Amino acid sequence: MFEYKFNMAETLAIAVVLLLVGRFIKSKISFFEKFFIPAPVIGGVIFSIITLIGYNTQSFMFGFDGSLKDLLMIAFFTTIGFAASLSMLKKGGVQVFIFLLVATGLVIIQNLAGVGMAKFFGLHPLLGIAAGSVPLTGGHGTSGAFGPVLEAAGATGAMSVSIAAATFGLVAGCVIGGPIAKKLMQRNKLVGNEEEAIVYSDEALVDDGKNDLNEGVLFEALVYIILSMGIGGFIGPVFKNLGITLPAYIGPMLVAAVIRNISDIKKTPLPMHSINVVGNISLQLFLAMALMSMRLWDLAALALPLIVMLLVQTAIMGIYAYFITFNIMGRDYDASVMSAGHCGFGMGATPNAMANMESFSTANGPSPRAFFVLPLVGALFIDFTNATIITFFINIFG
Amino acid sequence: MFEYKFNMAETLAIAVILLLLGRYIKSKVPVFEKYFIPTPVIGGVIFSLLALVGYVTQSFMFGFDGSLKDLLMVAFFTTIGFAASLSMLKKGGIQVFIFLLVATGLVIVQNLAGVGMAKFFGLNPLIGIAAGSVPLTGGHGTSGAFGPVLEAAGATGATSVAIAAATFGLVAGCMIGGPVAKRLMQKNHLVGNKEEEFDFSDENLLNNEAKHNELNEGILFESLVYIIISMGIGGFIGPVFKYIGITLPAYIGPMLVAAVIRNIADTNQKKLPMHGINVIGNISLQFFLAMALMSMKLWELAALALPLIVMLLVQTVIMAIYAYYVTFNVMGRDYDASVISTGHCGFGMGATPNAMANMESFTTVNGPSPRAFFVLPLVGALFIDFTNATIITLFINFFA
Repeated sequence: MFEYKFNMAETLAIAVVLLLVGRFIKSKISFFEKFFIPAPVIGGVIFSIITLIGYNTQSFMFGFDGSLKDLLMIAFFTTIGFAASLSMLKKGGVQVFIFLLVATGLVIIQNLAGVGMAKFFGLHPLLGIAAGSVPLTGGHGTSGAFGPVLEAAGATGAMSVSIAAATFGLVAGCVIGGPIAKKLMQRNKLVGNEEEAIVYSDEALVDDGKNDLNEGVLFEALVYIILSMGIGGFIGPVFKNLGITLPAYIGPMLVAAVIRNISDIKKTPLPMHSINVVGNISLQLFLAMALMSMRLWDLAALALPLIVMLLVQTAIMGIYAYFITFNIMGRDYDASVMSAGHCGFGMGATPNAMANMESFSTANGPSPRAFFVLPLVGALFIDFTNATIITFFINIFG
Repeated sequence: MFEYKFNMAETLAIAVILLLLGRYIKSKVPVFEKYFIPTPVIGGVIFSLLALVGYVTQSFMFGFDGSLKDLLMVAFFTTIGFAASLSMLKKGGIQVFIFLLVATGLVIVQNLAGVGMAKFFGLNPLIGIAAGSVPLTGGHGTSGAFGPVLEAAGATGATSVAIAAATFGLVAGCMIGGPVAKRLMQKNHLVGNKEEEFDFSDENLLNNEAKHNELNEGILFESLVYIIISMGIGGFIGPVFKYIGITLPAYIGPMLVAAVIRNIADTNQKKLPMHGINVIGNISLQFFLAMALMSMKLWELAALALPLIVMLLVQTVIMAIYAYYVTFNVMGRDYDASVISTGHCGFGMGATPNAMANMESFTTVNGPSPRAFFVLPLVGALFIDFTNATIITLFINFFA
């Protein structure tokens, strides 16, 4: 059998090639565009299929240098931390806060259901989390970050399971969103808004106007990110002493959030645009690396239980959006739009939520409130509550 | 003794702190500004002094994760490769080509002198190269890249020697430049140009691809794609040469691939995102230098202090003589040639910014010299790293 371990630069180069391949394929096949399948997922899966062939025929095998992947993963979540502005949460009003609670409620249910089903199938309970809120509310980024943590805790195949579940979730979330909102409207005889009632202009809230990019700003952004990573790296070991396992990114993300809120109070704006650019590029490279090192053969033994679990999770999402999200968010038209959005959000990612709401509101009338609340929770806070709850579950069932 | 090995993220974080510290100190102490001592050098030396204290008192010791340093070093030199446009060399005219030859001649002289003196002091001949063209014509970047290669070939302390020599060179190059040119003017009764006769506008030539100077996520990503792919492909060139028995430093392969890509793009009239590439290269250099300097083992210098000082003084004299006799005569014996000579003192001992500073302070007094300002940075930015690396590699493979 031919074996080759790619060094750091080669690993990075393969990731870039896969990103380009993924981008090309996405631009050619509209299915991927429609369901917002990220380019690194497409490219990474292609490579992992190649390694699956090598594994099955016992002819070749690749290893990768994983250190850069972990660094980029932490960098990405650190940039997420910089978005967690409490003053923004307050400015967003009570609706944002309520939706955060609703979304966090779903996270708990997804994990309870996942663990329950995993036990039912006689699997490691953590595999239930790998098909729970990690890939569903979390998405590919969280899957790539928590997958190795779950595997280290004994759940073999957790990485492949959560990546597969995250990809399934992107599609399923888009598919169920529209019908649920439609049914909600009919049942409750809701009427769509005639015109834009209020211009919340969430962009102005999320961005700080410092939109230009140059070497100085980029360097400044790197300084913030890297310092948070350096300081935050010490938080994990401290908690480990107390017996709590945190994934490596939590510490840096917390430090970043603290820095953000200090700078909010002092009214010194951070270079958020550059931070987001660095975060986005880190995410792309990290995802490509995480996906290309995925061992698809781990999935084979789990295929049947995984399919059942994901179908049940989809049903749970539909029921939750229909009964809970809609009722708590106010039983009005905006609430129905948010329910459609929550289906995309709770199964996939914020872009899927936006797409669901977009296609629904183009047909039935605009809903600026929904478009304001949902991305704010998706961009700023859900990763925190999700990571906290996942960590809680891991420490109980690990 | 307290020992701690910093992991990758911590190593990076310390580098950032040292960069900030260096920046702060540079803004407060005008000497550093004047001699263009790079920020990471200031911060890195401070940390290495701290490590020296720990070593001397046997109380603490730090280790670093070096993998990111190497990656950033290769990334930086790859971005240099993207600048090596042959069509630009042609456009620059015969003067650029001649100065490249003159500068390359100095590289050979510096290494011959270094090896000779090292042998005289009974040192490993490669230490002579570590005090030769590696730090002098090369500078801190080349020192950080070739230092470990020289150490691997048996020259213990080569990195510290090269870094120390590079820093010395920045100062020495600035100091000898002015007097050399002044003397050339007096001896040869040269008269400075009255006004700008032609507008070469080197900025236009150097930056004509950077007309799209804007930067956004797409351009940044595109730049990363070019750099990373060159690094990936170029990584295979080193092992091939190793097979033939030639040791190349890790960055040569990627730099060559980048240069090939650049020239293919030139021929196809395709523009590379040079601005994005340069920004990434610059940031990589800063981080790489900080990491290289903070892991410097200053105590290795102690045993070499006396020979090193002698070697560097001799190299300074060689530089002055070379600029006075060779550079001036070959470049045309006129006012422009004297300006280029003062520039070459900064360039051959330190870095391009030192050369520019030398020429600037000389021409403000004696009259402008657009030709010198056109030729020198072009050679400094685009080609000298190639010829220098080639000659250093030749010497290493000969004397190792």
